[in-house]
Amino acid sequence: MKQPEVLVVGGGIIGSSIAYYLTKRDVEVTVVERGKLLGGASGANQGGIPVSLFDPPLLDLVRESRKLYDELSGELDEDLGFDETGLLLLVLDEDQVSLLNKFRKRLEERGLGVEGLSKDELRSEQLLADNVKAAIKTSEDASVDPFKVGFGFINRAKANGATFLKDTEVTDIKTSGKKVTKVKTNRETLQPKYLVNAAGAGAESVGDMVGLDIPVKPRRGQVLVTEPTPRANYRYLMDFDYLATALGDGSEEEKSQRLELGVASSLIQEPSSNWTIGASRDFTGFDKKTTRKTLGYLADRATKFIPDFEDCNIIRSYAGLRPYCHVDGEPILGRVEKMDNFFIATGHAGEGITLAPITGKLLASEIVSGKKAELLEGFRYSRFDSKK
Amino acid sequence: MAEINECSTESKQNMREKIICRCEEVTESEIRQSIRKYDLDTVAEVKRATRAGMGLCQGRSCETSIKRILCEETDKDISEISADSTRPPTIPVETGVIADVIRGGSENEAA
Repeated sequence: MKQPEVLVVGGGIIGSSIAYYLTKRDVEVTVVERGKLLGGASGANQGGIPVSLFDPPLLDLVRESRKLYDELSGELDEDLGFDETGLLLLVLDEDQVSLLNKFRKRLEERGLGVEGLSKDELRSEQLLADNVKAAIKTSEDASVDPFKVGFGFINRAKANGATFLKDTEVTDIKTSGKKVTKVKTNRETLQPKYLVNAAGAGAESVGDMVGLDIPVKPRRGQVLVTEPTPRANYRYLMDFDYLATALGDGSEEEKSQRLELGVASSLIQEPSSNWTIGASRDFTGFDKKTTRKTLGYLADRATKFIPDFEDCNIIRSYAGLRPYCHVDGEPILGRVEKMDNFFIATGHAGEGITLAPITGKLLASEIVSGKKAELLEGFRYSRFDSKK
Repeated sequence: MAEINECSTESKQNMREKIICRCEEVTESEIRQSIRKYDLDTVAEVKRATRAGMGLCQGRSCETSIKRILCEETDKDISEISADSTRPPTIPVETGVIADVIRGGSENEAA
């Protein structure tokens, strides 16, 4: 087999995006995936592209990625199911109304589109429960069909000459000094010029093979799927509690069992008109099962925002393992400075779909140009060096 | 605007074809094309690529047909094509019933 210039480990949305952006620059790339393409967290998520929820510098990265989605809709052959309706952020608890207002001010200061919904507007929205106390609508947030994005990247990358090898697991990596020389898999041995570790929650074990301690672990997220329902006016709804559970900014609220399981509503109506009901967060190793209790909390919380869900059928549930950086929760991106030809793109947590385009673009740029991408400062592996 | 009972070209085309997944209206040729385009060899992959099996019946009516198509396309025996993983609740269950698992606890006393 012809040796690839770049070998990407991981055939999820991140690896596929990197392959796509590399082939746009005429780079020979091979992607190896130990399971099936898009078979991990990339295929077990709601397709949300939240933008407004983040703080800089992650916000800068997220906003750039969101812009790339506009281009990708034209570049990829698939209909990405891109929905730009925006995000409705909802408050159930009277005590959180002032926090919501504070949050809204912060978005305005950052130049992010946001508007408040009046009481009348809220009441006239039939979908929403009467006890929703307040809501704001942000405009940069969107949603996509994650499979269409993933297969869109794969399809274009393949057309541009990339090779995707599924059922292919990296078993050993040989190094000489600071350089990766050989990558052994259960099928064949490859000798790429550059290696990219985009193995998601499995990135730690790939790091071990070259003596790098990559601090990611799998964070489980469970999701319910309803039967299709009529198209709603607002198709991306979020519980204000989500900010506390997802971003871990220390909610002072007494920890209920629901919050211990990381349950706060993230509700998205897919292009197919099914609703996906998320989101939960817990750490149970590589266990991908859904649990009755978490699904119970997800279902109960969702009915508090949309009472019609009560007798709407659930047809499926699933869980995905998000690659979570257990040091600071931020992604780990770019060239590893203490090695010659080793790159990392993992730790995206719940933002893999959101950050896939910018991750692919900047990793491809760093590999091809040899120059550091400014936007990746703060997300590099070297940030862990001083902490050891 | 088209009359409601007027078929689009796409649905006319679909009517001439065998529908494999009736819930999501996925045709035999769509499935065959995806298998070739993306080099698929499992039911789970076909589901991700085409939505076949993602509908109300969760593949109970189409999974065997998809397996047969996979056999033909990949030259494998049907015993080599593994079933898709089951995703609870396996039959449609109302959201409220799933919520009942936790209702009655401290979370809901106030409600």
